[in-house]
Amino acid sequence: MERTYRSANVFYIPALILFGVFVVYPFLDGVRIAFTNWNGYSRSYSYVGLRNLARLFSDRNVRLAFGNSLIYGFGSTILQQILGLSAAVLLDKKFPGRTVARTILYLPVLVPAVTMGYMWVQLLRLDGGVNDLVQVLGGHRVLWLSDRALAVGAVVAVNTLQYMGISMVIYLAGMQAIPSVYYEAAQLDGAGPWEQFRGITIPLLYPAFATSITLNLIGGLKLFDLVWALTSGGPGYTTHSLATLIYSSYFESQLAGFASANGIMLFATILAITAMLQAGLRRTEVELS
Amino acid sequence: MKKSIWRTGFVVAMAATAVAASAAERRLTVALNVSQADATFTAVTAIAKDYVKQHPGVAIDVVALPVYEQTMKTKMAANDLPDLWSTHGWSVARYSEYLTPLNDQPWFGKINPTIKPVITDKAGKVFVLPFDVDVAGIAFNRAVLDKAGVDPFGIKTWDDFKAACAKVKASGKIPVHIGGSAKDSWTVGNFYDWVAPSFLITNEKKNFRTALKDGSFDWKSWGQVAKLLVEFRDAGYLNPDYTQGTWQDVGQKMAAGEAAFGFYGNNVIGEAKKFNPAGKYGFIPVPAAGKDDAPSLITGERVTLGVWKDSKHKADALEFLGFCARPENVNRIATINGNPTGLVGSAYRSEQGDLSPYFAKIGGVRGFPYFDREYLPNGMWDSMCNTGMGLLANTMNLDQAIAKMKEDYLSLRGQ
Amino acid sequence: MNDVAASTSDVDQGVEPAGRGASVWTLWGRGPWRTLTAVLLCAVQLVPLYVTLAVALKPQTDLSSTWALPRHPALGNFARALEEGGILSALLNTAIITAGSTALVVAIGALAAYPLARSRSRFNEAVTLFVLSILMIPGLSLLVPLYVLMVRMHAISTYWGIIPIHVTFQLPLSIFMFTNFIRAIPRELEEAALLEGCGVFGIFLRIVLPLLKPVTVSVVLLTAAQVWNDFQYSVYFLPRPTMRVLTVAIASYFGISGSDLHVAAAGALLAILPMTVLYLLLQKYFVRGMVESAFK
Repeated sequence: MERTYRSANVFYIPALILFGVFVVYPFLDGVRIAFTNWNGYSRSYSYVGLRNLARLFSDRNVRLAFGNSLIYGFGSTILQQILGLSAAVLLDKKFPGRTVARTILYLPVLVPAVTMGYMWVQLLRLDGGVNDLVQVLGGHRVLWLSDRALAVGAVVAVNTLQYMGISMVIYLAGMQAIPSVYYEAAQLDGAGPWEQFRGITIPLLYPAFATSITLNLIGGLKLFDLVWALTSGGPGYTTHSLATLIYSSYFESQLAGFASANGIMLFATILAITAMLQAGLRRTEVELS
Repeated sequence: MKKSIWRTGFVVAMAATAVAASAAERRLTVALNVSQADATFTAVTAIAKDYVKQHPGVAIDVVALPVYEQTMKTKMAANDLPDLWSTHGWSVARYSEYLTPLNDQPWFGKINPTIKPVITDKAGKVFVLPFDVDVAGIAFNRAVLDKAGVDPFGIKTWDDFKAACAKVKASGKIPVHIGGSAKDSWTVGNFYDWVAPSFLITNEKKNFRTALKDGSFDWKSWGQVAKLLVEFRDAGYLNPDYTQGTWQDVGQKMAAGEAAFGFYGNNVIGEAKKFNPAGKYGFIPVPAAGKDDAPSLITGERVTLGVWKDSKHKADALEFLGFCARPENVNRIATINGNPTGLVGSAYRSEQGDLSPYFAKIGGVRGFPYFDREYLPNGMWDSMCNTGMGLLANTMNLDQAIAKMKEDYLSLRGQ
Repeated sequence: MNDVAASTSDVDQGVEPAGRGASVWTLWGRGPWRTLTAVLLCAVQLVPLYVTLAVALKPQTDLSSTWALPRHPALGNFARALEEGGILSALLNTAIITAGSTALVVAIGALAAYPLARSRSRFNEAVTLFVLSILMIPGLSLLVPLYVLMVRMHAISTYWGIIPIHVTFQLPLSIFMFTNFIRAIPRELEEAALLEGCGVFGIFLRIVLPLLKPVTVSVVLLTAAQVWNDFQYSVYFLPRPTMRVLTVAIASYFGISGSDLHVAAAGALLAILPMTVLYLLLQKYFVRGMVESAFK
């Protein structure tokens, strides 16, 4: 049987060809650009060695953006797991309005991030809906997107709200696969809801958790659309994610080489973090079982 | 099975594309940097339609490319450009490498002398047909100024201007609407573009024109320019949401009589008119930094078109450009924003409408090119916008803003 | 498998498992409390959509508060979006591109996932990691070199140019999900087919593929949504107005001059509609499809 399966390896050749042409080749070209001083559009440029790589370490904005990307990645991921899991538990058992709720909570996932960003920009304006609410609750109107801490928080919040639907669905699927005999047995033993949750739900949801956290983390670390739509990296470079900084360096500052070097660093970072995450997840899985 | 239906549909779609692509032979593409809802877009489309009627065998697609500058840069990188495109002020500094010189065109001699230096490169070549000339000062809502008791023509220096702002503020209106949101960060860059010349360029006796161009500029002098922005903010002369105002807000507030001044070209008046066509608007030259200097104007490209030097239909493109150069077409575009025509001669005339009294008063006022296009290396527009926004939001202090400008200036010059 | 089916339907009926202690689902409270919590959560998620709807129903000259619905809702913005924005032709383009890309992603992805799921050689593990790592490359890093490549292939503003691009970048997720799902299928069926003399492709086609229906639906939904909503690549690779997709058509209303937020809002809502309908139609398969693929 193993020999038959091995002969099926040809099946992934079409995929590999696509990757080779449209990913590997452009990526290598991008690496080459990282060693130039190209401005992104001129026919002429020259090679400048490691100058762009050095700038990665000296530029204050890179450090800011790196920190922001970590916040966007880990912050959103943690919140999405909490929200997604809570929603899954909420929607697991049938109650009036469950189907509607499941659809509505997933709906934002179907909205393009750019559009969602524009929608929230309108809401977060000085005269916008969110400030209206704040005023009704007795607070002062705030310029949400003009203060670094508030703006970064806003990005994390909107990103969480928009994509919690994905974790919710992953957890829902996981929960629906847990036979309720386990819960029944636990109930007969007198275990309360919290103990059932901790003892049965969480361990058996582990694979779902691993998938959800991996996908959410990769998405959050390379976040671009939402940040660009909400803040364009401002005010004054403070809310850039690495992805938006790359875009701005390339198209606005016309530093194609620097942007490319930044892109390689972002890719390497996500790769490293994901690898560490996978290792950690696999170890905990062994411990749990 | 479901899949075979998809597959058939896919093949049919591919075939349809192939058929459609082979339809018209000589097809010109004209790319504009405005949105489809813009009056300029409508005008150019109409001109193209007239041309096509008189020249069968040619088709013209007028396209509003979204994210125009990024798209154009990507296209340049691949040497895959439209036959004609608008250069929005960068015909020499950015696009000239890819444009056909137009000195041999029949209309070349008619180019408005005001704009000619701006669109000519060091070797004397011109790369675009200018439809109109951007003549910009500080625009305002006249009714707001009247109510506040401000005489716009009496404003000659920044001190005069600040006094006027104080009066407007006292009357309960916004003196200067600076926009300021991250989405429209260009509004902040614009403020700098307007203010910088008065401190650094316009004074014939003391200016930094050469220093900026040869790299010896001492960036400490930028402090005066940046300080004005901070002073306006601290004195309460800006719109209260000065870090989140959008371009839409500028037009709306000015139209509603809520805001007085705007540091934009007269297209802001066009915007305001959309919300309130009956409003009274005007403009004055940009004030001088001190009494030893005179107010000035900012002149530059507005609507232009150039021809790709590797275009497959260059002859047709040049002929279309010649058609655009006809008085009726030039006038049509220039009248949209009430700007002077880019070509001069007997039949060239633009309707300045209710801005005429203001145009009448600017005879003899000197015009200077856009600060960032002329005196700063390519790519510093972004630095101006971001440091300005940083100052407004207090995420940067003056020294940091100056340092960032200097850092970008040196690194971009080195390219 | 049978246990799962039985228990799912129990829970679906709302039958509380018997026992002394309360069930885990009462963490959120019983009946009406659950509904209330659900309503609150949904309200938050609906806020941006509601506001967009309010904006879409007002003409540009209406400056009232963001929360208020207009007294005389005007459908004029929707009409303008349809006529001027070229939304209809953009809709057709987007539909063709999405359908084509999704179909290919399913076909190529399932094919590629089969050996990766079944034959766990060192090389194949490396291939799996390589595929996953493609998800991690920031889009802009590849944009310009990709554009140059597409120009040289004369693939700009063509369906057959953009579809392979979308397929390439959606494949990693689909391969990931198919691989997990196939691993959960017992090998006995394929071994039996081999004994009957089936070739490996025949095994895949006749035994494995039909079993992949649930996860295929999940892949279709996720891939279609991402291709439908793509802006970053579509805006550069499909510049010709006749070839524009929805996201680009809507963005064309945000220019520096002549921007009209209200028409843009109307256009955005129109664009979300088809994906929502697709989700509603397929959602009952969705959850069950993710059951097997989600946790391996």
